[in-house]
Amino acid sequence: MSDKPRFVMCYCTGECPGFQGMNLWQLINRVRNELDVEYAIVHPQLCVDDGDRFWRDNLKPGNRYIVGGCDPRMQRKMFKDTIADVGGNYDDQVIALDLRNMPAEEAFAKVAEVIR
Amino acid sequence: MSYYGLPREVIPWFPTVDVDVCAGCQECFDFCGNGVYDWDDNDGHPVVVNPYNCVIGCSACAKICATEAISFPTLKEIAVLIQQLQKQQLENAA
Repeated sequence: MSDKPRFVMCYCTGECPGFQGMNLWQLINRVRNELDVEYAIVHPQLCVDDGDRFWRDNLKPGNRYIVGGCDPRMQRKMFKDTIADVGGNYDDQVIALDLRNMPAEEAFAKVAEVIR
Repeated sequence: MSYYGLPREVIPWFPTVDVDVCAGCQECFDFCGNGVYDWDDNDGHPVVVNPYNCVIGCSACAKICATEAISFPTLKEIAVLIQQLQKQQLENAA
């Protein structure tokens, strides 16, 4: 299994003000094309039930995940237990990035900083 | 605001706060980016001031509430209601 990080953009339903200024597809395609990631995908809202189901269905112990979304403190609070339930470890496996209130270029730079 | 053609106000999706259980930590107030809450400094708990700013399907504030003081309808209830409203809307348009 590849040890490249997986990038998940949590886009807060697309209706929250924090991401209104971001060109989501520019960010995702630049991450996929320009950074050494296993994949880059979008989830509309990891913090509610179908977000839990995403982790339960997809998380594999040992893989690294970069989650672009809201406040990292909140991300930890919302994902930690679900990830532990499926044998993962949030602190070892997830890097949470706050990508709110910024254009795609700035968000891409933050993701690149973590990967490169 | 509307929800895919339905007036937002006909869909009762918004948080309800049990102030007796609320610990006053302000996480919900700080977290919500849509201005659903205001903070009552006197009583030290959130007040839902813009319920229809709440994004349908979003219950993140309830998830981060340490004392489970925030509740929402179930998505199932809302889905059934939305179907009824859409059906009614079609009948009215016919």
